[in-house]
Amino acid sequence: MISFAKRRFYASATLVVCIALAVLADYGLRQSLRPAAICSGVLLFAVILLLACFNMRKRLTFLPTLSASTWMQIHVYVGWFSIAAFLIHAGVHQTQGTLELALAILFWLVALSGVWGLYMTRAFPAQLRMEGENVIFERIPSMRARLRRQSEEVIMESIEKTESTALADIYEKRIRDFFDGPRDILSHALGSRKAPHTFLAEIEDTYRYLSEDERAFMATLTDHVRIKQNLDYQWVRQGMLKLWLFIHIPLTYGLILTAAAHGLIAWRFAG
Amino acid sequence: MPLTVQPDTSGTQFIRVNRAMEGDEPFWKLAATGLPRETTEVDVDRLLEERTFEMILKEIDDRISEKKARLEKNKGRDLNEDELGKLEDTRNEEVDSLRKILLDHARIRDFAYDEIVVRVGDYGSSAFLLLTGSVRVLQVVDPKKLGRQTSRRPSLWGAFKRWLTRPRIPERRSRVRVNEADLFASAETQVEEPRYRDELEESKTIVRVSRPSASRWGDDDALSKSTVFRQSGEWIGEMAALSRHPRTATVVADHQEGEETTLMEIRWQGLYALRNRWSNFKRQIDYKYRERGLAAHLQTTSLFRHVESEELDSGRFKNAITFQSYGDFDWNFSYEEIREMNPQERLQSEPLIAGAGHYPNGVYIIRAGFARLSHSYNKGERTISYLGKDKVFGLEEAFESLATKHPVPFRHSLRAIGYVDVLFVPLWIIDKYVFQNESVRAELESEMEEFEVENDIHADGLEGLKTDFLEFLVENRYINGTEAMLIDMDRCTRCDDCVRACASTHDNNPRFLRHGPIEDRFMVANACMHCIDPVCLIGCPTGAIHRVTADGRVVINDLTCVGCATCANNCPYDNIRMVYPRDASGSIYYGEDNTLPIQKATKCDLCGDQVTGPACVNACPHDAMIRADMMDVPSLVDWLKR
Ligand code: SF4
Ligand code: SF4
Ligand code: SF4
Repeated sequence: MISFAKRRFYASATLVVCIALAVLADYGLRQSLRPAAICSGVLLFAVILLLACFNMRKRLTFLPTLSASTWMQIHVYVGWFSIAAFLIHAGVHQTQGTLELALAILFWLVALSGVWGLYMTRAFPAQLRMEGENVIFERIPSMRARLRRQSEEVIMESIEKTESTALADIYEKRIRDFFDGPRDILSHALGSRKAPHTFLAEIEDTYRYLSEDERAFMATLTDHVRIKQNLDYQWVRQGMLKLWLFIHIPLTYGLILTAAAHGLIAWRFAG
Repeated sequence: MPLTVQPDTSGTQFIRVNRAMEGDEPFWKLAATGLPRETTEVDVDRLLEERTFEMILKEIDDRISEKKARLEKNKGRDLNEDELGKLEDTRNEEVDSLRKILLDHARIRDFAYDEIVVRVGDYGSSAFLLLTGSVRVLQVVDPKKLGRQTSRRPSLWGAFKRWLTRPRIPERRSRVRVNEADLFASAETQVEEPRYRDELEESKTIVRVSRPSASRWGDDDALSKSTVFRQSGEWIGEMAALSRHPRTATVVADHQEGEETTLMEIRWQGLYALRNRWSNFKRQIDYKYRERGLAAHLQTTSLFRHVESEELDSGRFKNAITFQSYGDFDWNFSYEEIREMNPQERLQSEPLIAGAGHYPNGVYIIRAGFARLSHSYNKGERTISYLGKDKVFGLEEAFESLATKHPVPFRHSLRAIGYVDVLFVPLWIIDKYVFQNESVRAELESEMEEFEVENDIHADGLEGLKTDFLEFLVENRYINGTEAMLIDMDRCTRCDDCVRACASTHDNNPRFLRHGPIEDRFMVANACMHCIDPVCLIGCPTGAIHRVTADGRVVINDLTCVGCATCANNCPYDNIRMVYPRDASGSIYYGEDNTLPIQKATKCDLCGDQVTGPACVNACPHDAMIRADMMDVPSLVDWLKR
């Protein structure tokens, strides 16, 4: 089995060779006064179509075409190549006209969302694993609700056993709202631990005011808070992994349509 | 406990159908070839004259006599007519239950000369009792002659059509039980019937020939080395059926001209029922299982492959080698309990086969099951490797002892995980047949593992598996899997493309859960592992869950599944889900007999009908998933260390 490092090396080397060939071909065409822009434009459009095919391939599960992981590799490296092809085609000069501007903006949005997606798909999984228990995204809301129910049961039990409402008061004022829905969304999205830590520290501060029995109940509650924080983290991060595709894919279709319009106009003018 | 999928039934229409019931599908109805031949009461009368069953009848009579004597002793008088009548009823009930087992689980089959009864390598799910004629046991047969079937894949067109017509409603079925019309269709039609394909392939004959002057299985010399059974009452294939392992030999019909070979075939559910109920039967079958297992198995091992079969069959050999069993045959029932134990307790629960420091006067060969190879470390034991079928324990020490003429102690301990059959081969046999044979010794030495294992819990075990991961695989008995689903959680983006791919190829409902225990960074997901020892097969009343002959997959015949959940409860890994099938309008099928909806057991079928192979692995864009054979450790390590 080929290691990831080796695979990355071979694929990167192939990418560099392909980019060099494309640059040379474009240079050659320009030198021989051939329609280099049309050639690079057609190449770029073909490359974008090939990239878009990946999404189609994912749906056609029965097709004995290459595996999705091979498609993914092709998608990533052809994606990098498309940036080079775009620079060859459009150059770094300023674009002319609204359509070209829209096309350039769309292309860079698709490319950047792709790069962001690639970063997330490589970096997030390990972070998700290390943060806490692995949970299925769709189950998070029900797990959250269950946790809230269990926490309330702890409070009821504490009132019954300790004959004091101190814990219930703290719960009502500080914790109840926390269990209602996802919290610290921005912190989790940015990977900052500050807000969750602060919240836990605030809860731990209340220990000094509790009796020994109440402290035991509070410890269970603190565990629930930790579990809930992991649920929130998983929800935000897994959500981000799902959400970016809803940006990347529609933008790609927009890009294809705009590029097709641009091609048609260019062809008419060339004709 | 396995989950029962509870679909949202609000606003659902129910349609009442006849529920598929246990005993609905007697074994004879699943005809091996041609038209089904019914097992009748007359057949059962004939079978009860066989010595095997006579012994059961005798046991029943003995039990009744004992009971009668006990009652008479207690009462201090002879039993009156009423009491004798009751005893007679008890006897009749026992005999009736024996008859019912035979009616439900046995079928009578006639074989043409040279026709295959069982094929080497096939996963046995039934045993045969010779009634008339004779059979020949061939240890070595050219696989081509056996017409080995490779697993059938459907056409791309078929896969496309299925994809196109995939249901929107989960678990849609057009039928939930077998139609009588299918059962009595012509043989050709049955072969075309996909639901029956597996059963048919399991014992389909290859060619029928009229009595030839010579057998097509080999020349006279080859045939003279094979064993012929002429006596009625001989059991064939009972070992494979009981141990749920591949057949060890090919058996063909071999009668004289003008004779016929007729056998009773009993599926393993029937065999188990007889074995569990009557100790006479158990003793008989276990004796043969041990006796025959020995010679047949030795011929397939790396140690004795080169030894002539006469030699292996000789009394000297057979008497010197001991056949030992360790652990619990029904290990799946104690699995959860054992998993809850701490490592020390767990170790204590595993019977010791050979201890480190003991002086070997022989070597152990694993015949079936798994064993843990470990080394003591402080107060515990560090697992170094696990051994499966045909692995040899203690050969290095044996070779060293023979070379230095000084006994060398075992360096590691060998413990039974679950249920293990081992052969103990004494040192003198190793010396005579292995050590003295230069070429065999050289070959084995080159295959030997480097046994210089550091006694360090942070070092890798044998073959490069990390110790923690190794312990995890062994403790959870994932080593049973031939197609375990491993997910690299540092690459898995939780995108669920695998789950969607599985659903889109399976009644719009995934056949696995992307969830399971994680060790290091690897998850063993809740997907059927197509185990070496598929304990889920035990107890299925209709044989709906079975192994596919061609490729060893464990699959469920949806139409004969009665929804009893025995398999789901038996699977220690929780990989079978019960579902409620629906018709095209979304209505749940509902039994006519009572108020319960009809259930079916579902699980991963390894996408046997997909051109692409496992759709889940094929759909994972991030190289995060693999279906791994836990006995192929080098490939596993390769994947883990990519
Ligand atoms: S259902 Fe369970 S026991 Fe049966 S083969 Fe699959 S994983 Fe093994
Ligand atoms: S192999 Fe097929 S049936 Fe099994 S889990 Fe994967 S997709 Fe589902
Ligand atoms: S397809 Fe691959 S990456 Fe996506 S959830 Fe399945 S295993 Fe994980």
